[in-house]
Amino acid sequence: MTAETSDVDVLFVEDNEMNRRVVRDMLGIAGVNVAEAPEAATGLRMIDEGDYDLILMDLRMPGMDGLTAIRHIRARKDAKANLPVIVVTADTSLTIREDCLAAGADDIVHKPVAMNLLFDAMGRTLTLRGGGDEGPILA
Amino acid sequence: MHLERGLKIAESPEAARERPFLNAVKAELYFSEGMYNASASLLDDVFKGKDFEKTTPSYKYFHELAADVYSKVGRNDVALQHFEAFKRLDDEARELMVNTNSALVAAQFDFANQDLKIARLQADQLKKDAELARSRNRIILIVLGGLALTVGLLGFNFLSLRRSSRQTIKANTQLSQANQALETALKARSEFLATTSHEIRTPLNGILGVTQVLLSDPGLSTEVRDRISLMNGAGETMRAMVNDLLDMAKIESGTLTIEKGETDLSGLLDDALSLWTDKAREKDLDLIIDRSGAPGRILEDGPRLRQIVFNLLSNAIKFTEAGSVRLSVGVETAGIGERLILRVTDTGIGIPSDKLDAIFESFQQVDGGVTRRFEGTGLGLSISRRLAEAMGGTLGVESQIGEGSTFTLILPLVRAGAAAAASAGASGGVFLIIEANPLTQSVLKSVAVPLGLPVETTASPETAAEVLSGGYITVALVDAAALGPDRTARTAAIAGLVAAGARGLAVTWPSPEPEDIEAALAAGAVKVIAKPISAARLTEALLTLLPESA
Repeated sequence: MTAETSDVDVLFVEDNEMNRRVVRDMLGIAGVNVAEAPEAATGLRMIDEGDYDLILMDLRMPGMDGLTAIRHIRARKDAKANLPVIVVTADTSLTIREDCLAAGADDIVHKPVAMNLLFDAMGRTLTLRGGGDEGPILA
Repeated sequence: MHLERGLKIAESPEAARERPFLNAVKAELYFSEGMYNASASLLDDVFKGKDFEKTTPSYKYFHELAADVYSKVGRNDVALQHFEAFKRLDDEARELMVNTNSALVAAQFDFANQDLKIARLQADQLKKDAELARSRNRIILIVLGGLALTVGLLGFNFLSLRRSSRQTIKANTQLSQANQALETALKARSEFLATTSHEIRTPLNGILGVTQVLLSDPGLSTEVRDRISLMNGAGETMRAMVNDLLDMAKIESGTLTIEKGETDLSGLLDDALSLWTDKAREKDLDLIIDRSGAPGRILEDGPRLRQIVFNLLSNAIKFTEAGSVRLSVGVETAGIGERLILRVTDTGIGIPSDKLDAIFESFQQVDGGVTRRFEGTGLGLSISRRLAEAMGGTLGVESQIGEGSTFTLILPLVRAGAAAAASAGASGGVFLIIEANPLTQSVLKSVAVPLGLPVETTASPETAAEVLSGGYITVALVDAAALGPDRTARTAAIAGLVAAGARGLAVTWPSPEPEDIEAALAAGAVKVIAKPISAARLTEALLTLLPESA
């Protein structure tokens, strides 16, 4: 069962290079392929062109912020509108979770990222929203 | 000479009233000089027109003189009359004397009372006088004073009303200004804390992220692992401090919110516990969890509950040098509804009885001050108690110096929906996932949620042995790939796990041959689950492994 997670393709939209590196290394342990976008607009374009199983989204970025980017994804007319999106943020404001869920995010992971919590959020989201009606297929 | 002048005075008109007495005295003089007729003549004048039976005692002496004078001049009848009058007056005087004596005695006898009566009378009189005066004065006072008072009070009230109104307005203004200033200050502080926290989190993410990634490499040498662990621990402490400070700010500004949601209590406790297993091992402490009485899924603010448990464990491990830290969970039914009882018991240094309250105050350690031996913000217990209260519960402590402390968290318990009923009926076992890949582990955790069992995870069959020895594993799930490269190796590994205590061992097997299934079952596995399989199907397969369903 170790093999199938390498089939999971993740796009991480994050402006801070160190943060991108950290998450890339973490997901690398699980064999997850990570594509990176340093800003929201680039991320949206990559979603247009690519094929991802899950999006990790930072909130505070120069240019378009993460919540706006999520709203853009949810506003799509194709199947990609249902892409699982997990917010990864250092924002600890009171309503942050509600704000993210309201914008269409599936879950939220706080920075500094606790690896087990990131994987749990991904596992939960993939089980609930990934794949077809019966969830992700474990190869 | 004196006599002459006295007699002259007696003849004066002013002396008319005293003349009888003066003439009587003159008569006595004449008598003593032998001039009896002259004396008798004067006495005739003194007693002229007097009723001898009604003369006053003052004449007594003159009656006696007259009796002697008149008997000398041969007027015995008149002398007798005077003698009788003298006798009458003498008797009266004697009687009066007796009466006076008894009155004197009586007066003496009653002296004290008289004195008292007099004093009382005087006092009464004084009182009456005073009252009279007072009432007189009072009336005047009432009239005049009342008038003045009315005018004065009106003026005073007016002034004080104006003053108090001014003061009220002033106070209100000051209060609203203070409130505004406070609000601004709180907002500024919140913003400062939020910004600072955000900015600290970014470098922390680097430190913690890289150390976590490094530590996940099983090939690390012990020496390197220890050093990275140290770095990771420092980062975790820093993270906890930032979180504590933010929480305290939220609590103090009243913006802390409790969001109750369906919570996997066992998973939550595992999470909290797993963060301390390394630290406990490092200090050679037994970290024990007793969840035999734990409810399954509950409605609670999971992250907050985890935070409290984390803080209690942190505290217990921090202040315990030898022995154990025990986390136990139970349910108590008392009065209305159920209560979740969560205890963290340590064998640490203990807390003096006079510090039992102080430890829940901010920035307090029992041996606080310059000699703080233990790292941390000193906010953990304070935050935990406030969180417990915000969640409708309590957090208390009992302690014996040198023997240890027990922190007891009591929360109102609400079981969550259908899963709660299912898990409440379950045998209280644990679902063990043996899986190296962290993401697969997480996916399997999610898949296992409908089982309603607490989940434990372990990376490999080798590390599973320790968990299995606990004897509480109901269902274990392992992938064939983790057991070995071929059927023989895998079968041997299954037998090894079963020997280690794995009951209800399910093995996921990619496209298994009938021989594979046969060999696995023969080795002691209870089920072989063919892959690929969807998450939903895997859940169904796992549900058949529960004792009730079997």
